[in-house]
Amino acid sequence: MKHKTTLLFAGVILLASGSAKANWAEMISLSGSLESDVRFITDNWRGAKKGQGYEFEMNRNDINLRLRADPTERVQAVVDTRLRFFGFNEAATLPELISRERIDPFSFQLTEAYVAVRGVPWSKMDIKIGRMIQTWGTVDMFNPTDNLNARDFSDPLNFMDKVPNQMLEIDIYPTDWLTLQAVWVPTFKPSQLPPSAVLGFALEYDDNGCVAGFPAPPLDADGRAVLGSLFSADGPFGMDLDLCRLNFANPEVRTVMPKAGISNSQAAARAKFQAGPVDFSLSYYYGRFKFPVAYTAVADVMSPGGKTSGFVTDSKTIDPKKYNVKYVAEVMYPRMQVIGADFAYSSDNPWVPGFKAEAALILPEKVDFGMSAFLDGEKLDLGKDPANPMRTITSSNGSGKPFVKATVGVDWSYSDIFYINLMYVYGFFDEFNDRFGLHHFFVGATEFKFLQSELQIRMSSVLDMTDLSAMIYPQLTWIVAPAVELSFGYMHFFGDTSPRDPLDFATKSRFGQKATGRNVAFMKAKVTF
Amino acid sequence: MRTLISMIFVVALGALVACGWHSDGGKTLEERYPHDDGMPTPKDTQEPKDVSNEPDDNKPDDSESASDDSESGSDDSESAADDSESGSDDSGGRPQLDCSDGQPVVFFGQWAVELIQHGTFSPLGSPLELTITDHFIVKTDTNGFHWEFCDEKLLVDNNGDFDTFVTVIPDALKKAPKTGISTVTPECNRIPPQTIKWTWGLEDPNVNPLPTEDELEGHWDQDNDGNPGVTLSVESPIAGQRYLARRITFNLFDSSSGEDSWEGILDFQIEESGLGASSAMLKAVVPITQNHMKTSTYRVYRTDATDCASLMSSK
Amino acid sequence: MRLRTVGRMLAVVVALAAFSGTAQAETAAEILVKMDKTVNGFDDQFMDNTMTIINIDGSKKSYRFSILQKGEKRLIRFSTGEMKGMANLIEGAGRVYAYLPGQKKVRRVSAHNMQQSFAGSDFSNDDMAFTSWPGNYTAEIKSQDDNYWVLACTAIPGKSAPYPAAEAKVRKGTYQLDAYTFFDEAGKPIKSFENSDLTDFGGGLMRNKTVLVTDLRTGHKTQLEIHEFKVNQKVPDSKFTQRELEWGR
Repeated sequence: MKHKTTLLFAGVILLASGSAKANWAEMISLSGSLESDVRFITDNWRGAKKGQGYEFEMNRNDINLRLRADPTERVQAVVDTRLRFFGFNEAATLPELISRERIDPFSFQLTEAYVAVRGVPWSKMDIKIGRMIQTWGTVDMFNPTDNLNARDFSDPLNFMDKVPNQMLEIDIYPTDWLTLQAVWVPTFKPSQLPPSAVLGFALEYDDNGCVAGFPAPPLDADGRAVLGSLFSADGPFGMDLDLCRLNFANPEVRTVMPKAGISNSQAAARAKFQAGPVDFSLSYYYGRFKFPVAYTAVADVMSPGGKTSGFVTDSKTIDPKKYNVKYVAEVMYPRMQVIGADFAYSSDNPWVPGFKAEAALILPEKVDFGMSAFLDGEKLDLGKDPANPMRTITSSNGSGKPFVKATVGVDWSYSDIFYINLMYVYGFFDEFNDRFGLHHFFVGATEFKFLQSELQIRMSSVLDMTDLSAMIYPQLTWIVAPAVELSFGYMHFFGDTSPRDPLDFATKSRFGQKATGRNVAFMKAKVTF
Repeated sequence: MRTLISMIFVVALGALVACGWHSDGGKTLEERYPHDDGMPTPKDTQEPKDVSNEPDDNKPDDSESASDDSESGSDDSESAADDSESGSDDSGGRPQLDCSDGQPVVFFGQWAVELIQHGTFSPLGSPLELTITDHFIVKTDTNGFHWEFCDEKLLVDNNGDFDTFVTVIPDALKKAPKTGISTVTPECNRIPPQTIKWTWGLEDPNVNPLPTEDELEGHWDQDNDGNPGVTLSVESPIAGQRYLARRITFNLFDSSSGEDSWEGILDFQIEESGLGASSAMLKAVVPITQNHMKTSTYRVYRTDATDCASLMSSK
Repeated sequence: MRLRTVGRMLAVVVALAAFSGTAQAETAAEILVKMDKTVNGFDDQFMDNTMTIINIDGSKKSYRFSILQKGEKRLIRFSTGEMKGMANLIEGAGRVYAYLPGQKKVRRVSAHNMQQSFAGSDFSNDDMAFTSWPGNYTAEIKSQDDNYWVLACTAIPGKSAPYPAAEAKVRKGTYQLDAYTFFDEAGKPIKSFENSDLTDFGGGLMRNKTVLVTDLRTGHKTQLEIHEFKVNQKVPDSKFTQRELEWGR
């Protein structure tokens, strides 16, 4: 199979061969950048433990290399790589000190690696195969119709990175005003979450070392009532249990990944139109939501001297004098179809702002969240009626009803001096109309340029109008010389780190919750070549 | 145009065939961890037993009977069939258990029980640490367990001065057997986790809310001195008497056993209501809360002492 | 000297005089058309350039880019600097697209963006989109001497002239545009362009190799140096499409 594929591929390239380039120098184009990024945490209340902070969070260096080969006018191959050095020592034991990889850890990433063929088999068709990144939608950054690649939020300062994936892309250009595109993605890849995401499942402790709070599961009011009574005499344990009497192991979150069958592959199609001052497109996507949605949770409790259930897992940190609790949650990636539309309007009048809008009708999978509890190996009745035991709580965490995500934006600039971009966003990247719902956001970015654009001051902010949390991101960029940039900036989050109701999943603050990230000051340097 | 129409057709078809997706976490858990509801659950055996261990005439009115389905929950005992019930509702508990090895565990004789409670209270504004130690002597015979409250020692650390707060437990309380305390229910080799309640001056250990000075309904002049509730003599810092009703809930956690003894950790909650006092300054109720920085414990051990006097003489 | 030779010389002088008289008789519009032909009068043209931005303090920074032009369509690609990989496509008046490599996205450029400078230089995006003198300006001969015409140009309403008025200095004989200045509504000069270093780029293809732009308001300068200049390469229209921009990403 592999040989046949290679031969087919070679045949396509031969068909596509137009005039070959005279020499290698004309065929190859190498570009890239060197980047250095240092960040310092400027808070001590958003970490895993209170008081943890005021230290360096990042000290990394990236080398990005992009090699593009154009052996003929109709064939193009691109390889885009990133070599990242993290800058922090990870050697914790003496034997590790002999390993350079532990002292100076690094990672290698292949961002893109594809072959594109133009005009084959039809002159108005282009084909692209390989590892690539797609960007759909006309608005800036918040694109509800852009679902082919998962997001890479490993860097909280960068909302635009994506996780590359292997794809087949076909583009057809039947007329000047119409572009058709179809993409098939064989396997699913989830979004990469920021390092702070684990804090979304972390426990809170008080000054006595007792558990003071735990991540609320997405339960409805009835489920929350059961949860609230869990450790009281009315609850399934039948006694009042002070939280100090509990020994919680770190919660474990498992992911339920879709199998690599063809039914779990993704596909999308788009038609782009140009009509005078308006560009608009219609799109369709079939696949899965790329962010995890809570699916199940099991609390395994072992009384002092008792035993674990064996159904779930054994805690590794058992305290024989306490009630030992192990919480295991599962998250999954629900299916969805997305019907999208977007347009951009550009007036001829320079005093009229540019206007963009994008909306996606999402047809989601219905998700029900289930929760069970075990005590000393036995599944507990979580209900109130002994005649009708309730061994599992089930709450809706995604009704399955269609919902809309949308972005509307305007931008305007005055000469080289001033630029402003304002957007209304309904539904953030990771919102799926589950129990957390869809929030309303106001996004603003203003930019001032000085000294022939050598100095740029940019202020970006996002306000969650639903829970009134916010993020601000001022940045100063100095173009020291062509292709050399220095940036200084700061990112700060506003909002409560704890949910308004500790048992209500929906009341956690979008930007206040610790999982969003730390407040940081940063300095970056970049050389492009 | 044909291409566009085809696209629309595909979209519509996809919409028709792809709906109806449903991931049910509850169902997944039910399938992954099936449970036969014909079998008793730990909750049934772990339910708090609020049963007095006194004979009928001393039993509080609304004592709950111990569970009839008596699966012990311990690893090695099928709590033996018929007569493994612990703490029957009228006898205050059977002194003998049949355990899996066929050897009976006999609780005949005298047992001393100590409940050591570490708490804090703020009578003077700033919190002070205190330790309350309640001593009981429990005699067992074929009729069951017989509790006697021997004494309560109160030790308050007032910045190194331990003599600031002195109270005296009335004899009437000691002697009045109807304290409302429920049975400590043992199993073959341990005292399993359970909740017990001990009341002072309450007819019903579960009364809610507690009686107050203005609304005395539910109180019991336990020491029969004409004053409501139990009369507690205060010697220091202010001399006088307080009339009060009190309910102490103990959560006993699993015990470890030694030779003829068991020890375990406990949580406690003290609910107290003032029913009056000999002087206005003693009327105020200062709540006592558990001090989680220290471990409160219980201890049950065989003793040669035949009564409280001989038990307390060794303390 | 023989009479026959003198007579021939006289005939040449008369012919030259007649020729001069014919040149002087050209209208401003005709001159403008012929001038535009030397600049834009090709089926297509390709230029590889280095743009050097000269600050008032004398410091410089350079960017290399290429321009492919056919009629009013232009495709500009940056090959150095922080904008390396960026491309601008001008499909026509009011239809400008930019490829942003950081976002891997083709974005339509609004009219308000067109007023921004081109890569921080003294060229604006409108300047770069300006592809036809007679298509955007009417002309009058303001003055002339033996070597030059100076044309006063006025923007045609409804067209895409970058500025309301301009003055063009056209070399007599070659119709090369050696210098021009743009003016604002009040007649105040905004920018001046000085073309120099007339070079043969092969096959008799003459072009001023150097363009010096001065922002007359600030004194800031930008120099454009042409390294390669090719014309009439039979560039297909498909090179000026979003497909071409997408292909480059």
